[in-house]
Amino acid sequence: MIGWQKYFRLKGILPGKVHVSIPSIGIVDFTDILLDLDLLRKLWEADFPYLEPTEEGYKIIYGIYLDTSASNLSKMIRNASDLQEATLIAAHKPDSKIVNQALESYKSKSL
Amino acid sequence: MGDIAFDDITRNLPGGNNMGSLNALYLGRHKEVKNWPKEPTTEDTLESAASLEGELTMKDGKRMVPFYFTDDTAELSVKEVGEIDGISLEVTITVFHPGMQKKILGFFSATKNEDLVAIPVDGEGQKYLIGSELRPMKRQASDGSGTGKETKSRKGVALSFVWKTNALRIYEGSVPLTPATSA
Repeated sequence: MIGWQKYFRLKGILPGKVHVSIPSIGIVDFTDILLDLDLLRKLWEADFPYLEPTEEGYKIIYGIYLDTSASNLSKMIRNASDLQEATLIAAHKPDSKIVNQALESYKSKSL
Repeated sequence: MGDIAFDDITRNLPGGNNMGSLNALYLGRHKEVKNWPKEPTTEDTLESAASLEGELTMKDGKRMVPFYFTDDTAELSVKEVGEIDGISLEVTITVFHPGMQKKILGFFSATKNEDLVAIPVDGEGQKYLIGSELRPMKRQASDGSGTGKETKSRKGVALSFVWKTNALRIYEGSVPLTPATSA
């Protein structure tokens, strides 16, 4: 299983717990490899000081340097490492029928 | 710095919530703090005057530690002290830790004259920074520790901390409970 470390890396602290700045979240344990990428994205966007996206994270989560044409996104979804990554890629074009079909296809294959 | 603009003080209980006591308490050594949140640079509103800016970070290998306390024994209290035209605040944290095992007795002894910093978290998850770069939080004598007199008594360690300041401010950053590293 591929964890969140492919998309974000810790900086300034060893893996462990942090009581984060967003009150509704509380304590996050960064030794957990199954942390939700959307949670990490929220932390990063809230200026959390101990996290930064990897090059892969910038590409997948923020679409930087990413060809966001529906055909390319569909191709990337087909090649995604897991459903979480496929969902993040699809989020770049949520209204695209082709992209949503690729995501649904990925979901049905991953079941 | 100019005067802070006064504004209407109305009922302000988000979600109708206003629970007392503390949910969590984090403690650290004053000298192990690397970066201190800054006092507000612009105090143009009442809200900004009560908010710290930035993150508290620790020196390499150091961290803030969570302190367990029995439910309904933790309190953050604020007392105004001083004469007219010289009023300031004494902020006190009191907690009771159940049991008298080695670790808490070691902590009890190691902190008695130490310069400290604390981040208590209130019932709504709001955090406060107790201790500043210029003035640490200190332990103050507390008389609630021991075995108790009767078998139905609860043994444990009672701690009281005090910080003297001109303002109590909210800390909106993170609390690192894992060691800092420069790597």
